Amino acid sequence: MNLQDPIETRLRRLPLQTPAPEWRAAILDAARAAASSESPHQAPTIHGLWRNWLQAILWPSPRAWAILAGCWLAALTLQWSLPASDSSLPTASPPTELAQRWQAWQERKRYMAELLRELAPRSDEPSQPVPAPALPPRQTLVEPLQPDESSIAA
Amino acid sequence: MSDEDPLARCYDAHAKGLFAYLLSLTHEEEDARDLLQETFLRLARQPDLLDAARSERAVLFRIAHNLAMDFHRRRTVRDRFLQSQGAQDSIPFAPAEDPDEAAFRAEAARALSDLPPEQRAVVHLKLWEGFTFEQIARVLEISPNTAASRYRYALDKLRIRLRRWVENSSQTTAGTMKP
Repeated sequence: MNLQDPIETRLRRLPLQTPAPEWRAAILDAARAAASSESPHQAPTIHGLWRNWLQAILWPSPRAWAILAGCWLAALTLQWSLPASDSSLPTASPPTELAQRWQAWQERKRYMAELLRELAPRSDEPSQPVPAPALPPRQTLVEPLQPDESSIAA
Repeated sequence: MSDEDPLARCYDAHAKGLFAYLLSLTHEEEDARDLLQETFLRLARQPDLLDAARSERAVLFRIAHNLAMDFHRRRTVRDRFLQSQGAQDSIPFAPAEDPDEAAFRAEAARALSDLPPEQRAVVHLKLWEGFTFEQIARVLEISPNTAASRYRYALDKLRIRLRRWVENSSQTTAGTMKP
């Protein structure tokens, strides 16, 4: 290395900024507090491990991950909000509460149908349409004109 | 100064260099201060870090460097915003009373900040810490050859940017040496 390089020499002579003197006490106090709050070989907590893992995964592009998570949530919400009878969709299990409500409603519907069937009379009459009463033989409303005997007599 | 306290002794011995290094990497005094504190927090939590170390200064610079790189990755978005707002970077050099010298320091700081962070780190450790390329390689976890080539590239760029200042300086020096 060329130590006589003027640019190196000039730059090397530049004095650097120094930390403010009042920082010393604050930084050392914080460091001592951190040291006393933790045992030297304390095992990392689950929360700390989870946070580190999450941070390692998300930091390169947190916004992209957030958008992806949002898309997934929107897709799942859309799927759950569709009617269950739609056979074109895969039969994913809905959340537990929704599934229970749906099952209870189906049972109630079936029970009501059975109840109605039980209450219905066994004979077919009420269910059969009542036959219309037989009409009397057609009567003519206007009697056919017959020659009146008196008039004839007259 | 409490020499009995290893933490305080470490601070007194290395905080100045660490702060300048962190300031050179972050360009922000507050950020450099936070990272300096974090460096000593790490040291306080794991005091055995220095036990097997050949050079405690190298270990501290390695911790500081890793913290600064993590910080650099995290703050990319905020940087863009600040740059768009025309925020002024902190200069890693002490202020000068002489206007010419102050202008040179400002230009040198700008030239340094235009270097990629990996080249800036090598230049700082070489010029102002006096580390060898082997020591720099250990701090930055690269090969000594990589450290040397980064230094050469960076110095070429600085030489071009600061040529006018160095030529003026040498002319002035030559002029003053004349009888």
